[in-house]
Amino acid sequence: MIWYIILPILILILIQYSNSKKINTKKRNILMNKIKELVKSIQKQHKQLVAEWDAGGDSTPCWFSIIDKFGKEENREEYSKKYEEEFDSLRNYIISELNLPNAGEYYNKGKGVIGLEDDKVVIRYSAKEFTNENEDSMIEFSLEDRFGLLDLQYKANITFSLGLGEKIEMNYDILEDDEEEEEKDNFMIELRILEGDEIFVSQEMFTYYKTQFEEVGKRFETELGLEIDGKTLQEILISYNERDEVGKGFLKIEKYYEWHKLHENEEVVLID
Amino acid sequence: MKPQKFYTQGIEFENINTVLKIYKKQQKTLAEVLTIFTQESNKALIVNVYDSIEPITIKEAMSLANSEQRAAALKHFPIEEIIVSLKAKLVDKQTIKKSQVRWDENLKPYKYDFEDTYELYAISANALNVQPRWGGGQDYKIYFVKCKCASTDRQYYLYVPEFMGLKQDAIEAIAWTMRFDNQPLSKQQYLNLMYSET
Repeated sequence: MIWYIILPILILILIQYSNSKKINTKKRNILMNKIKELVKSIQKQHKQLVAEWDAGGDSTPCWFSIIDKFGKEENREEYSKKYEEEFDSLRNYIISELNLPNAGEYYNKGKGVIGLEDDKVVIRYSAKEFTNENEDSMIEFSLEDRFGLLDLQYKANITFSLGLGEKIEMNYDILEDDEEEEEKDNFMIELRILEGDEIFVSQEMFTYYKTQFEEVGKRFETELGLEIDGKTLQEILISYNERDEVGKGFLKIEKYYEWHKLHENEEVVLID
Repeated sequence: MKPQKFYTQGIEFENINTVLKIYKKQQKTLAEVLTIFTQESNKALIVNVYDSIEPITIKEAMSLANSEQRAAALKHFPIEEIIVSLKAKLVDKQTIKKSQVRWDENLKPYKYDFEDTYELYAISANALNVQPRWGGGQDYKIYFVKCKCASTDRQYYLYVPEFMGLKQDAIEAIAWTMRFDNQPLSKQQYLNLMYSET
């Protein structure tokens, strides 16, 4: 007897469910077509739809820009508003197809151009997936101070630092050629003046302190490239910033390990 | 040649005289000041001028364009002196009688009666050398409420927005500085809390 009541309700629920599914599928199809139309029209005008992301560390930002044939960005405010729905949906496709991270210390940073090929929306992109880890240690160190820089600690925070190795940076911008980077000095004397006038560091002073740090650096250089738990020791930062009350100095050794995977000029279908 | 920069309390100044005036206000001697400067030309200048340098005044401190510089210079004045110098106007003063149960050194409870006084002040924005962010004309006022922390006996001067200052009610102003569920308290809510504390 009870089935006479339950069965029609169940049938009604099923019809409702199937209708809402149909509506959702219809909505999705409409949106997919709108995205395809948008990409098609951008391509037709010889412009480019570019996506960039910097995902990981508890957020997944992904943003879009439309670049004209002269390489200039169009009015972002205008098109972001106009194509808000399409961009929101495209963002979800990128996050899902490229498996972009959100929470945790795992990152994916990249950039790509979105295009239409054989009625499929595809992205041609470059990206770096990576995860970092670091460990610190302190060792006693007596810095020779012929120029008396450390005697000025009462009026300035003075930090000496030497960097060994470097993190792998890649050019995510697949629209531009690799630019040659300016060579930076891996040794630095940072002076944060608290009281009085500026402290002048001559080239002679700089070289004098740098030589001492390079001597220390030699002890660690061989460790670069070592692999621990699948991660590579990519960078070592050696710094010294003050003597304690009894005149003892300490070096802080920071070791940065990194695991990474590079994607260069790869192509993925976002919408079939 | 790049112009020199001068520092006190980690804040950068363009003018050595301002820094020397602050040192004078701190009552630093010539010998002390000379140990802070490293460049011979600066040392020579200081030896010549330091005796004739006058300590920085509140008016001079207030006229510094940079807010970090103003804060570094004003740090050396008692707040009461700043308030008098800025011609702060007392807008409202109210006292609440309170009593608390406290414990003596033998851990015996006793009743402690005291009075809590709140004072609402207004200062002209011009005197503070600040511009109202959303306009507001020449007669724009900055309001703050003075109160005393019952446990530490320290005086506090808390900023309240103009719309609250215009109500000319010191209790209403102090209530606004407190939040419950991210909402400022009303005067009545604040008084109710005070009576329950009592």
